[in-house]
Amino acid sequence: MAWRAPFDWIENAPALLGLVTLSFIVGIIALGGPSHQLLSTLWKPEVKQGELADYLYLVAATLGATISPYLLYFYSSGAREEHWTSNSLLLNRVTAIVGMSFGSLGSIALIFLGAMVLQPLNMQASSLGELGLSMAKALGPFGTLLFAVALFATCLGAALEVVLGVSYNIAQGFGWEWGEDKKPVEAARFNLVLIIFLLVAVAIGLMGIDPLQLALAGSTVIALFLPISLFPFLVLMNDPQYLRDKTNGRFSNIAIICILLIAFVVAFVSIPLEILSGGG
Amino acid sequence: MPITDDQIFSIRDIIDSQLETREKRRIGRVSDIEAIWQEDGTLVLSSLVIGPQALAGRIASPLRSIVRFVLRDRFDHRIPLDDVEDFGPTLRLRGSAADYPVGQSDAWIANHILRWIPGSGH
Repeated sequence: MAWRAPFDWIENAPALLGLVTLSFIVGIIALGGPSHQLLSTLWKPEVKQGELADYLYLVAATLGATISPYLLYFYSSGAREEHWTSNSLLLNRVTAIVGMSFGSLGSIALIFLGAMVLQPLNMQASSLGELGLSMAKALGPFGTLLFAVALFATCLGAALEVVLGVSYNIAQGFGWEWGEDKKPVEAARFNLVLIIFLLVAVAIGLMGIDPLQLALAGSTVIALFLPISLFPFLVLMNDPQYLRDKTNGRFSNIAIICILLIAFVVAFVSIPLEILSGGG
Repeated sequence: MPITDDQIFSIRDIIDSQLETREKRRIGRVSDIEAIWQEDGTLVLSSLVIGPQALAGRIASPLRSIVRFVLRDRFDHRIPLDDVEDFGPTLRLRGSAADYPVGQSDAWIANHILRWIPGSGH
């Protein structure tokens, strides 16, 4: 898909398949809904003694995965692929708010499912297979199938986003011809970078590292570097030369700086703790 | 459009600018510039430099000679300033991509690497 699919396929196919993650909510309902005690962990998390490092590590990874700079590279390039103009601001706002909320809802639903099914069995949800069990318990063999489709959709979306995000970033940085709607030979250097990164990803995949642990470690490192990688965006968001009257307000700036700092501090603290405690 | 007296450009306006050819193909960004001293003591911009050595030199001067030792000037190319038709955030060139070594790299990659991959459109 990264090689030849037009941009609207890349954008819409994983998004449509991703609707399957709604089945996590169906799973929660099928299991009778979360208990009040479980719901309260949304705002009052229970961190058991000796698990603070793991908890902080997960917080850093979640922040890193949610505000990854690849998301911005991919999203902004997508806006140019689709020839957005200043008239597209409403579309942008709706896409960002609905998209992020939908993604977060799916993630929270899966965490709830895990807590409802796996926690009573003293299972840690430390592998994707264990997570799949919670859907199997809720919806039977069909639930397992839905979990597999959701996993495929989210992995496909993330893989396309990262490989294209990196290729867009490099091609635009060096001023090369780029674009998914062009034939590969018409944007040769862009597509060469894309192939190289796909091969690197395959090579890392073949090394046999547990994908869940690798994704967690990667997201935590992303969180650690967020202040560096997103500071240029913050400067641009406040530059009237580029944005005229659409620059960030004081509230947005303070919110962004706080989120970046929280992500950095949590990652900075949790990575050494996680290494010292032996990981996982 | 030649530079007129009322158009004053700083190095910042030119360095890192997008280079676009006559047929609107983006071929690269300006990595560095070259200037020559005239007999009357003035410094005149002569050419645009595109390539990894020039970029390395901008990060740290010693890096330029290290990268030069490895790459031996093979990937750095110059475009005479006279070839620039229009100045701005994008520098529009008079020639087509095939007229510039930096513009030929896309064709080289397409002809030597991408052509072997199905669906490349070669």
